Amino acid sequence: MAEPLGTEPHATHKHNDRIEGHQMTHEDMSQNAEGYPTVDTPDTEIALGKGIDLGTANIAAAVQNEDGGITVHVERNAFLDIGDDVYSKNMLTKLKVPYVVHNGKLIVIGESAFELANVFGKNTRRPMSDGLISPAETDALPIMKMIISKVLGQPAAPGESCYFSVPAESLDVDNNVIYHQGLFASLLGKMGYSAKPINEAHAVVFAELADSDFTGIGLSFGGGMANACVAYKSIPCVQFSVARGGDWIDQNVSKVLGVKQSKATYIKERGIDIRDPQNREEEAVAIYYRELINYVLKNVKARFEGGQNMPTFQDPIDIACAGGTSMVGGFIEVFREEFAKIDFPIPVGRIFRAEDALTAVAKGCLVAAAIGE
Amino acid sequence: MESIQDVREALSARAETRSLDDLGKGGRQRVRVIRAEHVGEMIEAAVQRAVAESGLISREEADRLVARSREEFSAVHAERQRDAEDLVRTRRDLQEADRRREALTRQLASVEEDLASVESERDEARTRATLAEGAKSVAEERVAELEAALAEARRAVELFEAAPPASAAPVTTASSAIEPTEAQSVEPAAAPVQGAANPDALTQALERLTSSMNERLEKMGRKMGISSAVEADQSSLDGLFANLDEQRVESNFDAVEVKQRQTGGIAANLARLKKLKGGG
Repeated sequence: MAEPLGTEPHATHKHNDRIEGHQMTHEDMSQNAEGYPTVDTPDTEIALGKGIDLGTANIAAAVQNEDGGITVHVERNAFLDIGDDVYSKNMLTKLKVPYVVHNGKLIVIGESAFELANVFGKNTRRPMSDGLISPAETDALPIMKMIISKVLGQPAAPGESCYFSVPAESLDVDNNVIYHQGLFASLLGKMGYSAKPINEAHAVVFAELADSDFTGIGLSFGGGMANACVAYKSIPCVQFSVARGGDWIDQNVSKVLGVKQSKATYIKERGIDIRDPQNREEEAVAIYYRELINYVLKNVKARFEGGQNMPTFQDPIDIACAGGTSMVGGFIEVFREEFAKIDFPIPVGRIFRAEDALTAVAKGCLVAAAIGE
Repeated sequence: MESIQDVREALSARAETRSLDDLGKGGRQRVRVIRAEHVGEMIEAAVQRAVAESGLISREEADRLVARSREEFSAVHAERQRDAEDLVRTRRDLQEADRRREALTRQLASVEEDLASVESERDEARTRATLAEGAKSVAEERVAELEAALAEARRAVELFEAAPPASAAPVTTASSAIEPTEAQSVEPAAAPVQGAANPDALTQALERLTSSMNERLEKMGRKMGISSAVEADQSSLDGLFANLDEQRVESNFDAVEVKQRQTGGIAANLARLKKLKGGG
């Protein structure tokens, strides 16, 4: 879990593209006028620290760029094995499709795996399930290591802070995040980072609730689960998850329509509006979306009604939604409709979706890394 | 007369009927009229005169030819009538077939509507079933947890009920010490149930119960995100990656660009956080 608020100033470094070509050393580092550590490179000075969202469906890494914005590298957390032959390799290289030869198999990685799976009517293999490293997927670790290395790059300086997202323990399934958390802390540590975990819904609070002094409810609708964090002035009061997310929708749509799960994912992601389904397939997606939102809201409500440690808020609080599953058209409108039905126990102000819902968790991790949270 | 009748029918078959108005519109104010009988008589007279003048065939032969021609004409005429009747019948059949086709099309549309409705109901039922299944499994898990907690609580109550008042304990203990029963010596595990007879056993049972309850409370606390437990130092899992680091894999992954998104900065977030922490 995240450590208490710290006071160390955030470090800075000079960004050289994606940092891949230059491995910083302690000798490169100095201090800027504000007393923050900097790194001497020929390029613009930017702050040290990175954030990475280790999601069931996507892995996204955020870093500050020289323009004052942030750059997020995103790759789908999926792979697909195909026959290993020279022709296929040449073709994949020509098409710029990322592959790796592993255990005698040709493995296509990331978004391309998802696209190929749909073309061939197959399911992708998934390194993670229900928000955690998949126990059923033997090749999960090497594939995830490759994707993480690709999107995150090398540290700009030895021991650069990197916050990575982890789910909270679930209310509805008996899961354990300790192994998952330790595994990725070790992996990032081996890469040269000073790795620290942060709950993904807490990261949403950091990314999206600055205007409310980081007080409110952050909800992360991911591929494997939905995470919730109730925070007061940036401090998490209650964090929990439910083991339902985009995959739960896909599995159920796949069942009722009799199609592969990858196909169900494609239907969901092709730009539909769940308020106005156009056919039977979209109708199924809309039904399960509404059910997912209702399920999450009921659990949040139950926490508020039953939790003794729940803070008392004097003013209405905001609810920020993020995560790839919240990107579907009409999500926030349906969320508001379902919210209106449940008689929430405390007054709520704004209900909104992050401007870039897919990268909000990575952005929140970056905020935590930069502030030394 | 027969030939005249034939000529009339032939003329009727080939003639068209026009109203006087139509003729007037066509610029005809007066028309000549001739009766069919007259035409027949003229044709017959002309034929007989032509035959007699030709001298090619005798009068008898000509009569025979006329008779055969009449028969032939009658046959052709009858055939035409049959064709006309067949045509009427066929048209009637066609109309009937059209009516049946339209009825079947309407029936098909209705069946398709019913099918769509049934499919929709089926999908809805499947959805409800899947949801119910999920809810059932969650409920079953919760029931199992509650039953386990209840059983634990019952065991605790039994232990306390079985415990005699403090003054009685030494007597029982002494008695047990003097005359140890076979059951006690052979089955030490039974001691906590009897109990009471052994204060250490009771203490152990209470400790087990306390430990079990602590575990449960800790688990519940974790689930609610309010655990106050101090996290142990993270175990090192570096060994898991030793093999991965040694592997030299063939890949083009480094040469392929991943998707990149630019988004707003975090300066405002950091400034607010610093202010909250009292640093700004």
